[in-house]
Amino acid sequence: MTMNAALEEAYASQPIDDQTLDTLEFHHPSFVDETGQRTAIRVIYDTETWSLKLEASAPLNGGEYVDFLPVPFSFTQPGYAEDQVPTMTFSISNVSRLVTQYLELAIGQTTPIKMIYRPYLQSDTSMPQMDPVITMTLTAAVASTMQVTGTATLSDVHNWPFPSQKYTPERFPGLQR
Amino acid sequence: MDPVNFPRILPQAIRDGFQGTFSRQPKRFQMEDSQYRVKRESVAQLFVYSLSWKMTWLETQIFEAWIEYSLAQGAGYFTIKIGGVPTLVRPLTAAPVYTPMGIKWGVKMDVEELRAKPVVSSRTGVLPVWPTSLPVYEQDSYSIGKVLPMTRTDIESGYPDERVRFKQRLTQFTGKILCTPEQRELFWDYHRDTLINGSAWFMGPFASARSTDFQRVRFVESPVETPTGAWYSITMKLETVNAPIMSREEFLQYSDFINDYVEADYIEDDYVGRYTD
Repeated sequence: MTMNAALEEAYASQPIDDQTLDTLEFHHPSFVDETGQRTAIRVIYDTETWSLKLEASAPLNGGEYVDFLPVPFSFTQPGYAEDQVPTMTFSISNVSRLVTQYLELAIGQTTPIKMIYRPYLQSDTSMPQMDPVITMTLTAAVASTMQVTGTATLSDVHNWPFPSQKYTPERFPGLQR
Repeated sequence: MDPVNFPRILPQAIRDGFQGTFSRQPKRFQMEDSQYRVKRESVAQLFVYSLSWKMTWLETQIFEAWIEYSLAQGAGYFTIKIGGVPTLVRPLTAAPVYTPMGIKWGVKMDVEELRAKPVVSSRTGVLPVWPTSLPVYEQDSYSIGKVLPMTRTDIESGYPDERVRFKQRLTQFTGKILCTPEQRELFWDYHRDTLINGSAWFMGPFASARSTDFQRVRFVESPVETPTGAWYSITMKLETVNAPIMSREEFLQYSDFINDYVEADYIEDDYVGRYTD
């Protein structure tokens, strides 16, 4: 995760003529719009809808300008500590029921919901100010009338097999006799 | 749902009880040098107005029904003239309140407006200056408060420790300006575009016993507007670290008197003179 110099400057000195714009995006194969097209929940911490350009490697609409809706939310950025999987907790306003209407589509499916955090700057909406962006997996979500609260984590790196290189017949056909 | 207009059949809002201010204050973080960094909550800010009407019984019924049907129980937007300017607003959830006032009903409702984003100009390196067409503060309700540069122990037992922590002297002051409707518009435009919703430093009027001049000042809280007759009062709280103070050299000109005062022990003399004669 590398922050752009402009974002580092904004975090450090809080210039009054520029504003950091925090965004969250949620992905799941079951998230479709009214025309049946695959879509994503995209929210921004502001009072207006913003058209922001996604990174080229985005899972949906990569390299395109897309709308982020102004929905109140709060979050804590993931910390990085020894022996701990980074987690990110968030709360999104559910008064408009924007999030729950999509969450209900994903209930009962085993495919995890992906969450992407991208910071932008008001002065530069042509790309996220972080490369790569933080992509996490939603592990828990509780919805109430007022808000949806959830936790997202990075991939569970602690339980990856080690060594992960395996001699399998698929990779090494000579093993089959 | 498209915005609707405030019904012409209903009376205009009255001045009594009118108030307008931003709904959220900018976040302020105190740094190690005692200065504050200001972070705006959002690019475009929400502004809350308190509106009041005096309505007949029939008008009150129509108002209730208008909110129910035209405003979708209050969830819709409507346009109403505020300060002579058509303003797009929506009701807040806590409103409205109906109270009987003689043969009429007093109706109060809080509404919010999403104000336009500031038009941020490129950095010039020069502090913006208070517009000459805006008035300076009224004497009424003007006050200055020095923030002592101290730090004090937060343990609630024993004799508390104190020490001077900061070199700079932060001075906060409140002032009120009286504006015509045109000056009111100019003030809010200046506050939004030039001061970026009040977060920028500027050369503004500051009066103290030392001098009445322009100093480098900044808003601490969002200004609040209230009506005063046909005009508007805008109350503001500001801060400066440049409050002028008597120089040490000038102060030392009075040193004889000051030393006399200490050495002669005036307090004891006063006490003896007053109670033993």
